[in-house]
Amino acid sequence: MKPLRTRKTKKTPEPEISQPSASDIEQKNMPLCSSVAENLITFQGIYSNCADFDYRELIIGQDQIPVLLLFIDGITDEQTINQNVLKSLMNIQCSKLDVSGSNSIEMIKNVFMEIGSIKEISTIGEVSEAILTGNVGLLLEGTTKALKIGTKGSEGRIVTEPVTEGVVRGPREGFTESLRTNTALLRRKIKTPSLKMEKFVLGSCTMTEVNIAYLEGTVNPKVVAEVKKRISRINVDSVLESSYIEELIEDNSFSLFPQIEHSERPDKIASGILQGQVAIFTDGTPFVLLVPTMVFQFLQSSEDYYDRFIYASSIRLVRFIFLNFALLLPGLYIAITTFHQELIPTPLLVSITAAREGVPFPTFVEVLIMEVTFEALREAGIRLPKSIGQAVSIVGGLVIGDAAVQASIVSSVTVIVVALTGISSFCLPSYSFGLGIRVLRFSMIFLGSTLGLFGILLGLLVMQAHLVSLRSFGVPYFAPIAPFNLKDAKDLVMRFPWWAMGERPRLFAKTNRRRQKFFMKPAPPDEKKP
Amino acid sequence: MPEKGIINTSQCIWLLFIVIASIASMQIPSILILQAGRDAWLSVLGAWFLDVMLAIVYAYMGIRFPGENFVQYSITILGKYLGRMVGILFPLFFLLVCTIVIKGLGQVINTAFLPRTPIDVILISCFFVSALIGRKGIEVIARMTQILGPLYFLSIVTLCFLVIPSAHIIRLKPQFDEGVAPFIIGTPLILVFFGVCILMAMYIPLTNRPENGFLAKFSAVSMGAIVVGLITTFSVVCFGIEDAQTMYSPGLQLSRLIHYSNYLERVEMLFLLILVGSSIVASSSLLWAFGLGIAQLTGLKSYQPLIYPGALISLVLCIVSFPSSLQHSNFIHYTYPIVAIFVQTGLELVLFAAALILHKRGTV
Amino acid sequence: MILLIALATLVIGLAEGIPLGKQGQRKELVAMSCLLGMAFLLAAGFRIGFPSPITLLEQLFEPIGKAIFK
Repeated sequence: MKPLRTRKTKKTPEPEISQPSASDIEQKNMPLCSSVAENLITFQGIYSNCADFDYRELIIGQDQIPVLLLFIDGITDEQTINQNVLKSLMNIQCSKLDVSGSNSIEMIKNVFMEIGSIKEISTIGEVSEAILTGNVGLLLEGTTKALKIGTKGSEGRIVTEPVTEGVVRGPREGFTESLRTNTALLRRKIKTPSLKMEKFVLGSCTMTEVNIAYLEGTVNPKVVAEVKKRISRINVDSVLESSYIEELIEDNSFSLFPQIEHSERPDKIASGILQGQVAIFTDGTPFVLLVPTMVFQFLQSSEDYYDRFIYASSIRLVRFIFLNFALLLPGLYIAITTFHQELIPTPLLVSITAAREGVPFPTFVEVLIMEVTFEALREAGIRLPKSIGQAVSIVGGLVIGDAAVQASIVSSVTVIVVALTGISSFCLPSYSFGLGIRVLRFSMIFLGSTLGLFGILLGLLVMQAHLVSLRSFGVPYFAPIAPFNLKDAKDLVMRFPWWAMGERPRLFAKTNRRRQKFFMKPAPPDEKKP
Repeated sequence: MPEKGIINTSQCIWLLFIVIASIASMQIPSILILQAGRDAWLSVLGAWFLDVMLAIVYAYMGIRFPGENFVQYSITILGKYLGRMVGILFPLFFLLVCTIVIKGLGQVINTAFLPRTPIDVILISCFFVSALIGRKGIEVIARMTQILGPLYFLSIVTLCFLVIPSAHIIRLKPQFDEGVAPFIIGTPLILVFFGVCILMAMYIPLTNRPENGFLAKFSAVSMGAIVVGLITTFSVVCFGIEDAQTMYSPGLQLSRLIHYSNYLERVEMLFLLILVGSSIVASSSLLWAFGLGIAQLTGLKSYQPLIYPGALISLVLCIVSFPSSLQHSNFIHYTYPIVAIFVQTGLELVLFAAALILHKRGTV
Repeated sequence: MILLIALATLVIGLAEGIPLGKQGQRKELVAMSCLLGMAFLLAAGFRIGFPSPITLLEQLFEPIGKAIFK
């Protein structure tokens, strides 16, 4: 019977999730038995009521030695097991294996097994971990050693175009849910041994594999050490998405602004690693984290680097302007129409007043109604299937907007303002950054309706103070504007051409900053200096 | 040291510039024009020169007592009790300046932005925001000034460039028509407003290169002098001295002159927004200096808990001391210069002389 | 107004004081309370007709200032 919990037991901290009980640890560290039958009973005990646990007993060699293969159905590649593992074992029929001692297991490993990844293991815990991650555990009669045979293979999504970050020009592959596919996509772009990937296993139940990838020699070693330190202090039961890790390692948990960038584009992650950032891959999600992050990265899309630089710079400028619109426009509209009408040129003021004729609400209420409606429409549109989503936008845009104006519940100018704000918020390449802006927009609406332009200014000052006080893994969040650095500012609102960006950002790559030779600017042959 | 942040030289320049510019460019030009007439721009030049001279003393003291600001080295020089009595004057002076700045700011906002809102609401919100920024420490204030400082400088230069069509250089003539007396009296008047950048003594121990203290102050004061000089000169050449000396804020009036093809008429709002923003950041650095100074005098480990109480004292002072804007400008005109010259020049020169005579030196 | 100041004193005292008390920083707590008390006394003193320190400064230095400046 479960003992009743008294106050005393409540006070003593006893994390049940993270630390397995003593008997569990004991069993994990227990060595294997030399008898296959006994081992089978142990594992059947461990995997009782696990329908996907499977095993295969067979007899090999001239001396008829029993062998046990343990695996979990579905996460192993059946073809590999049949054609490589079983076939090579069956082929041993005529060879003589040493009945006692570990020589035979070495022989199987070195001579017979037609498999690339193979490793000797010796405890129950290791075998258990091996089969849980999709490998086959091979146990042989007469020895306390076992083999971990790499047969990982599970049904996964194929590499497709990323849904959240589409481009017109640029690579069209996106990360998938499989960690190895993702690291392979990265390795295919950065073909140097200095690209390091270090493995962590997080989550006592999910045992999620996490890899951190960085370019040795370029990355700031302090940042790598900090990332490792923060990841190793994570002790949770589950990691199902990279956002779990993000929330457990970020600097300021209560900020509205994301301090860690994520992407499902291999080219974006590769370019980040090449300029000295650290990528964090999580098994089971296509979203890879990139640290340290500066706020201006959320305004950059990977296509900026694939278009001609003049065009890319002007697009960035547009994005920057519309970011301010998305944040400020409704607040400014309320502030100006309620407190500072004299700022509006007279003809415009006349038409705004004419449009507001017969509207029963003050501007503040009007804007608030429309903004909330818009947020609701947006939320409704995201979750629904595509065909119904279109219907929602038609109902929302046409019926609610037009009918509300016709019925003079809201003025047409308000509808224009809210629509423009909505479009502006779609200009942001980063969804997670846009969420923060959406929340802040409402505070700007409140400030603008209470203190006018002055209120908005105060809001901006507080926001700015918060932004410049943030740090992401030791890098100032608002760099390279504050603290200012001219060389890093080449890739900010402007995107300088590649031949002009000879150096990596100072804050990411402290020592190895030069990324290309000098004078890479192309010129026609006759103008070239000898 | 309660403050752990480190700033670099360019941040130090912008910090000082924001303080000078937001204090000296609002009401001061009209007072200066009242005092010095057409020679106002010469007074600005004279004050610039004197302030640079003063900066040498401050920079020297910063190097002589490495890692110490004037609150600390006044204790080192004058001993435990006398040193504390002298040292506490600096933080109190900063609180006084903060009070004056925010009160002036509140009046400008009240007239230009929110005529129907009670001024107390404006004052409270100003103090709240500047204390919030000040509490985050010197690095955050420095980064804020790095964004606002260039904006401020550029906006003033652009403003003066745009009002050139209304300027008549003939209004500057004749120079020295009342002798040199107005110039000589105007110089210390504007000097005490430039002199608020004795704040540099608080920054020098926190810079990564303390030997650049003089350079920072020199650049900041030069930029501040350019801003104030431009505003005074253009107020005179655009409005004439009779009008300019009665205006509340000539800089604001200048921006009202800008028209852009009869459509955009109220550009001064933009100018005013930048000005208000920089003044709030300037007062947050003054509050920070007050908190840090008091914390060092009493030997505390952190100064952050003192920022909000400091802001509250300043708010109360604002409300109880200046019931009307006339008292405020009278205080700025007649009382503040005497107090300021005593703290900025008198106290520091006494400390300097005492350090030389008593052979006191900081320990590295 | 005095009520508002009293409220602000209380709010600041609690918001800053509780963490200080928890960390055991007695000296900081005392210094902060002194400043808050000063703010409150200033406001209360003004209420009963006590002059503010700035007015005192004004009475002391304004004659000198008026003698020098126009």
